[in-house]
Amino acid sequence: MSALVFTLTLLSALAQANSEPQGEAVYRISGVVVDALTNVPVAHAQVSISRDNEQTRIVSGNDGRFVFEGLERGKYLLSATATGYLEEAYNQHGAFSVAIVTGKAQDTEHLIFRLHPQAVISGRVTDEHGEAVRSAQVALFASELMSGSHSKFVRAQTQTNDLGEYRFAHLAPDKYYLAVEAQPWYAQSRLSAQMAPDSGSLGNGGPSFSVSGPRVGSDPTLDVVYPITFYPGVTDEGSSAGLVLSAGEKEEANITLQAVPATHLRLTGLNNEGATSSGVGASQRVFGTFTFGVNEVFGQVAPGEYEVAGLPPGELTLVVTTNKANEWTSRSIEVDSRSQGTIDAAALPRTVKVVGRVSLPGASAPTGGSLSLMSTSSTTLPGVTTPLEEDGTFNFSRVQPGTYRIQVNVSPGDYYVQKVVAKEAKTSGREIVITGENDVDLTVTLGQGRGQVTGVVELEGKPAAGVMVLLVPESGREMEEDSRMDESDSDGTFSLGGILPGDYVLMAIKDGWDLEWSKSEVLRPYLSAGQKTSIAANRSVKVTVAAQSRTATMEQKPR
Amino acid sequence: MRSRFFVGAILVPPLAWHFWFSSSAAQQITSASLELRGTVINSATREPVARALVQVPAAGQKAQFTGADGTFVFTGLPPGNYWPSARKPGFFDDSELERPVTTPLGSSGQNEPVVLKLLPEATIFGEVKEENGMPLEGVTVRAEQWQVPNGEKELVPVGNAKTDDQGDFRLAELRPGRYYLSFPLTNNGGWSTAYQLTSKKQEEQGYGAQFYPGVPDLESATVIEVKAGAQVHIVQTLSPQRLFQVAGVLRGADPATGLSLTLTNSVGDMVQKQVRLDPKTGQFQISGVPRGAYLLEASANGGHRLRNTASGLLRIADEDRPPLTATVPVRVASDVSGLVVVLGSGLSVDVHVRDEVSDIGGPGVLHLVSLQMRPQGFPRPPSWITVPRAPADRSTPARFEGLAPGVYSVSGTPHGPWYIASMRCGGADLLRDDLTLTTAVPPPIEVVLRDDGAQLAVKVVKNGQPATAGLLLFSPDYPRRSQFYGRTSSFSVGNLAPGRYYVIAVRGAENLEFRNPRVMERYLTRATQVILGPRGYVAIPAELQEREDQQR
Repeated sequence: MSALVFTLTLLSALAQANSEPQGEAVYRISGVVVDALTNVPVAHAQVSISRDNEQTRIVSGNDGRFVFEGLERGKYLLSATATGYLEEAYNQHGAFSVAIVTGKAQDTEHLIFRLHPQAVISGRVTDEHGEAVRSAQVALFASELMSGSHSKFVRAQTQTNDLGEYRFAHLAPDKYYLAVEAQPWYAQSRLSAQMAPDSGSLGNGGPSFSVSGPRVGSDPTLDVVYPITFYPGVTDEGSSAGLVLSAGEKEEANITLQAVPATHLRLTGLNNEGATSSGVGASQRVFGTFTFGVNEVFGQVAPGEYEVAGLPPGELTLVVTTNKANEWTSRSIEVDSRSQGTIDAAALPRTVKVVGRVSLPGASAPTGGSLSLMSTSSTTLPGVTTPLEEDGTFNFSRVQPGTYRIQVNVSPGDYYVQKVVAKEAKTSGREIVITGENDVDLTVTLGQGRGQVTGVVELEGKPAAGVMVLLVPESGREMEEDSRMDESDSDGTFSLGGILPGDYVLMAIKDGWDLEWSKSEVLRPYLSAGQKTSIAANRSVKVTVAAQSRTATMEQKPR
Repeated sequence: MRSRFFVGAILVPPLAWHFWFSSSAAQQITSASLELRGTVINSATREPVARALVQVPAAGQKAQFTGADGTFVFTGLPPGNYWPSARKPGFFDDSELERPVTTPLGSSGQNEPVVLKLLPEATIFGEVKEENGMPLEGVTVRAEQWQVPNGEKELVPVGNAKTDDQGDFRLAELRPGRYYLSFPLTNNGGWSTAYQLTSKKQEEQGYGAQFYPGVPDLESATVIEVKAGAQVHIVQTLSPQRLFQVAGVLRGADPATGLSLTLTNSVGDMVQKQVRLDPKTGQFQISGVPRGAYLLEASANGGHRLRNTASGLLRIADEDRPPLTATVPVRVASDVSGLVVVLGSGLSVDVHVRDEVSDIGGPGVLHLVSLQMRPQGFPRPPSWITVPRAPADRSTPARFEGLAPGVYSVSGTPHGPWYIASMRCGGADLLRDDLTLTTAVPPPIEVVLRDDGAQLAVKVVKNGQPATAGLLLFSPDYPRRSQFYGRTSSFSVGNLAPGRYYVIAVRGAENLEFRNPRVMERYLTRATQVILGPRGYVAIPAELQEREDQQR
């Protein structure tokens, strides 16, 4: 069962009175909360069950026992926590857990809730003089297994306090990485020159500027930054050390930051004629999945020329935004501030026009909606969006070279991008690669409606709880986006929804939670025993799937 | 050659900067270089502060860090006036309050080291626990303080923190002063809504908003006196209490169009945790409410339409129709049921402006004034409008809309060189009194704008010598016309409504309740009284007074 989502507002669209007939409230959910490591009962654990957004909370006794009585027939999300433990759903794996299903012939009274002691990482961020660094941003990373790949994603973020201390509690056993971003408290990065406000531009019509000399605070000892620093105190993410925490473990991770001279970049050849405003933002990516903003200073130093100061050394993304006649355009520039002093924007790959047409199933045009090109490479320039014309056509005047995922938002209707055909660009599924040489003409065909798979996982002919259920496209393409996952509930049932029509393979893998299944070589041994399933729009398929065991030949990922 | 330097304030008037730049530039060429040395100290302990940043606005070396002994030295400076300043995390730079504003220039004589004082921050830290001694995580801890931002006392939050998994919290960067700690205990988990009433009667336990040391209201709270640099340790045990249910029915709006229901406590925090609402009947249940006084606010989304546009669905506000709302005070000491909450468009108050301003800005230019209605009692956001409306918009009159019955203070801010000569609503003089709205249709607010205001110039003196102080203008007849002009040695102000005023110069006037006649009484005997006539001009000295009360 997937995690509960709480609604925050009383929107009528969500109003769904429970239409199920009121059954007899005679069922019980009971069991004992034990420490997952020692199997010792956990006293005073807070245990809750919830169903239809209704939560009931009780506290377990000294013996860890809990009893919920007078329950109707149905599916309940069971979760528990206690001081010093994680907050977990029953048999939780990522966003999935085993829901408890009450009803006739369902044993819901002998549950053993294995609660994991929390792991904690705490520490202190100091500067090179041993003094506390306040308000440093500390980000905690770990591999995200549930999407089937091992990229490092941010798990939690915090700020250091006045003592420079941070603390991440409630951590599950895993291998963690830490990144710290901060500014020296005394840092004062200034531009070397700045164009005066538009005062003298009246005479000859051309913009005039004046350059002021070094100002107060442009002292080089203060023109410093802290590079993003990884545990145990390195500035190169490849050298960052992982902290391996087992359940209940507490690790201290202190990090010392070392101020280095800030770098300055010059951007030339920016055609900002007629622009009413321009801006430059800088950011730095960490592990390819997370972006720290950089506290840069920028200003125009000459017509079409900008200086960006206060940058940390390293690979950065600059986003230049310009407003001309109320139209905002932005382009991102990947730079290495260690090697580049001046960037000529005119010499960067040119932007192209992207035009095209969106058609609904049956080749008719949608009435209203929008199309977005979402950059898959840059997290700082998330994408561009344009409204669709009445005939379904769209047009982007300036698109930077790069790889983009095409998203269409046409409402009302459960539409999805079914097919993309491009002239002058390579496509792969819903992605296009724009090289910057030619303008691109796209034909985007939408499909409508999604399907559903429900069923029961069986092991040796009996319903099995807690088994990973995985549905992957048979083609092996769009694995991360189109695959669906669930965990079988206490009666062995599962439900996979929102599936795009097509051919899939359904698998139930016992203990498969740490499989890097988006890799074809990892998945291959399980595919043959999987069940081929065709999904049609707005149809539900009901299946019984036999659980496979974890293949012994698989290489176990070291923890 | 050694020279004597005087230390000036950080906040120097722009004129002084101008002098410094021109004089130093001129002397730079001819004079030998000088040294500026000094020490940065902790103003509470008098101990040196190591690794503080000291900056001197001058050519050459301008910034350095103090050594372990707190000392610094700048060499190679041309003669001139300098304003060295120091800063460091954990300290407030309060030096401007300690030093003279003007700085004489020295070019010879002995070099007396400069002492720069930094005021150390105070910290309140501690733990929040359950009765059984277990830590309570995620509890908000708020430091609050009485402040007087507009001449009226207000409890202002000055810092907040959340307890971690060990129940620990830290509130740093506090100035010395008197603080209250509150534990608002609004629910951290967010709110949830169910569309189904429950018949389950469960005795719920939970936490209600509390003040240190575990009392339910501010009146019985203990003030925490914090000195500069103090580290105050607080342990707070929170006791769970019985929580109650507030139930009733919403009328006057179609519940199916979407409704929101909130319960706000007397300090302005929303406390509703779970709201159950039956969209068919409008019946609602709000559970988990601690004992206390609340304001139940309901509003309907019916005033919005959805329109399909090229860029997707847009929500269009129906401007002609104010949203349907209801505001009901609720006192909870046990389960509350049977509340009938009738949504309506609320009260509206028209605003009429009589413009007696001569044609400033030319004919046809609107002489605008912003009016604010601030609800008294429960902290709720004020309503603003700007009047008069432009001729093109006059099809709908200028009015405050959607108001709940209650008491309001009304204030106005002119947008140009004119003043509010009078502001009345029926029999109420709004320059003096609050406006009480009942369910009856209120008369319009009548505002008269004039531009024959007076001008007043004041110089602060002490024993005949110029001095610096907080300057106040107190109007005994219309205390709401009283103004605080900040810390200064002189000021000049125009567009004052003609009338009687007291000019008061007080050292440390920052937090004075200057709109409260009872507080101001004690300053009046030593204040200068002026009577300003229309278009009058008065220039007077104001004798510096010391702050009379204890509270700083």
